[in-house]
Amino acid sequence: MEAMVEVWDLTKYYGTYIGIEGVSFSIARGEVVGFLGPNGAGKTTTMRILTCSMPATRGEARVAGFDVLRDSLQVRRRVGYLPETPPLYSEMTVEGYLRFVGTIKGVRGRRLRERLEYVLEACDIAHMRRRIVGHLSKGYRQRVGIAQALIHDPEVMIFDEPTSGLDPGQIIEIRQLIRELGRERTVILSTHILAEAQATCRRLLIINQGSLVGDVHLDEGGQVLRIQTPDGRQVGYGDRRRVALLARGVDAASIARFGEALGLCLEEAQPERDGLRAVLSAPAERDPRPALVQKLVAEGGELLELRELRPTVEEVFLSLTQPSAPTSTTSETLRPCET
Amino acid sequence: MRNLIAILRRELYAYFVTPIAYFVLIPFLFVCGFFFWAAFSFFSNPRAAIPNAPNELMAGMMQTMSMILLLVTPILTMRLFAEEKRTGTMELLMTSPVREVEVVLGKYLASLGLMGLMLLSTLPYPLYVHRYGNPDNGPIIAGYLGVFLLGSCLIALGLMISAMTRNQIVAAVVTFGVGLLLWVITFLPAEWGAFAGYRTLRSALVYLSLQQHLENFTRGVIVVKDLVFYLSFAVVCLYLTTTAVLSSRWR
Repeated sequence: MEAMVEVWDLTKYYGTYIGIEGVSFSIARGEVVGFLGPNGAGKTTTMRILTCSMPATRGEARVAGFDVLRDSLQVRRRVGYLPETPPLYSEMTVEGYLRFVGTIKGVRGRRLRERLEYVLEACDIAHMRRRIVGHLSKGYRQRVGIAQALIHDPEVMIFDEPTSGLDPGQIIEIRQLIRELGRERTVILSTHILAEAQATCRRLLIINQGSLVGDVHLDEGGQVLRIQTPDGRQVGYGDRRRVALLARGVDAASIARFGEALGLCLEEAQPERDGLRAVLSAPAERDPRPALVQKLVAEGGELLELRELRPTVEEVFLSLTQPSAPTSTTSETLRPCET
Repeated sequence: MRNLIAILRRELYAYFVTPIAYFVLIPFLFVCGFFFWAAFSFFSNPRAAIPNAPNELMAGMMQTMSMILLLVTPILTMRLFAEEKRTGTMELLMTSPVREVEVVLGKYLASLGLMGLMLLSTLPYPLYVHRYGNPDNGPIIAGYLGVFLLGSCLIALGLMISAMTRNQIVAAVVTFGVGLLLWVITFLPAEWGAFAGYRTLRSALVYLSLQQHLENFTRGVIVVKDLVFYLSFAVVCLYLTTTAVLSSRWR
């Protein structure tokens, strides 16, 4: 995969205050990546360096193969950027504004007319084209902001909180648009809404206190696939898999006994109305479910439910950004089983 | 070049839509008109019998217009960069493939255009004087050139100060203050005993006076020294503006 955005050891100090420190990552074409982190973590700083609006104190950043400092004009031609507050000229009409932005981004003539129609359509603002930007509501202003980031058909799009100020219907539309753009283009967006990141991104870069603390890959359904941390620290369920079951006709002691025979470890057991709910864990290499079902039935139990537990994005996010946070499902509860 | 034109057009559009252009143009014409009427009545008084009255009248008008420009150009230039920084559109320009010098010149030329329009709309005054008197055209043309050059310096100064702040009021007040200082610098006393090099210092400072260089133009004399002064003043201000805009890339 061709890397569209590459960052090595990126560092930015504001005086003595650390914006970001030692951030490195690489993003391929066709990826939709979410920057996730608490407020003040360094998301906007990273984005502003990538868009050439601010230099880094140290480190290197390349966009579409061009260095953001040495080939700044080349980078700026290929990047579409939506800052936190959309950069709008409030006295202009929507169409006039988008024409102006298109022109200074290097789009001209017929191509500009085509792109203008496309972005007006894609952002659903065609019916607002003659309105004065300053008279628009927050949601429309945000959509004009997204439209200006797309007008020159950039290879890399960087959106700082793209859905802020939108109503739920518009949020769904914009997420849809971002996913579509992400098929051929590279999209980086920042957000602090986990559900949004999960819905639009297949990869999350988690930033905390100026450092990259986790690189989380998600599957199509937004479930956590794998987690990489720069220091190799185990997060989520670490190197184990967890299975939850609901069964009748067995008690906690017997599950613990035959689980141990299968190399499984009983973590939680709790009686419920329909039976016993239990959580077992096994080393990540193998799927414990087939053997577990057979054994349970052979022991005379009735299996009502069985599913594999996966760490949720929320759990991963919290354990990465607040390592001391008491989350019930992190490695702490596993500790007796790991030895 | 196309970027420059795009920025120039946008600025002119902004001048006329947020009606700054009218708020500047109308008071300018009103005050100029008042002075013209007063001066015309004074010079045309048969009992006063002022020698060379039509030429004196027009030379006086040039001085008046330059004085009023000092008052209105800070309003033209205050928003040029300060507003963009405040609303965040500066980030749009900085992340677009546009060179800083194109942004600076685009904005500068837009203000120059508006000032040019202001001066053009005073053309009825010399025409009116022509109807009742017989002024020389040379001093009038040279005078307009001088006033235009002086205005270009004031605009370059205002643009530079606007690029250094994000507050429009600060930009306007500082521009006016510096402009006024460059005006009244000629009032320095010719002799002052406090230190030895005073006379040299004084002549150097007086050379920086914007208004003092207008004198020759209003007499119909275009002196290279004055031309060079105005042009280099504007160029230095524009260079510093570009540097100020660029500096956001180093910080």
